[in-house]
Amino acid sequence: MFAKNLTALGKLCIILSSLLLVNCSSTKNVELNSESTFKSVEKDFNNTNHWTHTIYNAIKYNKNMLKKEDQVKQMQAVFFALNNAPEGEVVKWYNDKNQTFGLVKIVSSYPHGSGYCRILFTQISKKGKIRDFTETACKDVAYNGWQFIR
Amino acid sequence: MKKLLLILGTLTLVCTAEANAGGPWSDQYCNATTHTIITKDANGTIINQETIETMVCDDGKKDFLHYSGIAKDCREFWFDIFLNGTFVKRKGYVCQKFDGSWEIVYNPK
Repeated sequence: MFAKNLTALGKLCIILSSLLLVNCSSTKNVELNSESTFKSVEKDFNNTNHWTHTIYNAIKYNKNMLKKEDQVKQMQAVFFALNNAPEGEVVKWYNDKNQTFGLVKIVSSYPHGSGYCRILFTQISKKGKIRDFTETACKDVAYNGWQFIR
Repeated sequence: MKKLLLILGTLTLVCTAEANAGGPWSDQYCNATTHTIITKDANGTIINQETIETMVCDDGKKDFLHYSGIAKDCREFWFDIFLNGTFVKRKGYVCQKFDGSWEIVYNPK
């Protein structure tokens, strides 16, 4: 009975340590959408812990978010560029009504495992404010979509 | 009476056979267009003139960039996005401009 319990405990230890190893083996975060599609154009905030500044920062962040229709356009630009555009070619969108625009440029591509990765430069703008991102997206043969590595 | 019936029958046929051509921005699929090819000699004398009728088909879903001559090609494209735990296909529209760059445009209605 004791030996049986010990074996079960040993098995549990092996499973737990395996899980721990898997978690530690990769420190990269994988996301399924480009940062430029959901982040605010605002990137400068008051760096204090005072509650008034926190509220001010939150208002500033939300005020400079792209509207849903513009986020969709940016997402379309990102995926069109990833799937179709060669290196150096630019994919843009404009929305005069919201005074916004975005662009995506594929900088380079390289093979990765059973697929490949593409480094993309993305830019979003709202009412004169501009924010740039540099991202890496990878596609695997065994996987339908793109994974964004952060 | 026979003549009246004949006239009525002819009118009915004419009315039902009428095609509603519509404008270029309607959802009509095909338009008949004519092109006249004029061949001239070195002195400018017309030596041959030929009119060709061609059928140009589209679904009226042309973007402003395309029909105003800013883009050479507008088309739809598909991509996969991850929604509610599964990949779903989404459609977008893009125009390639004359400088080679691409512009994402609104989905034509």
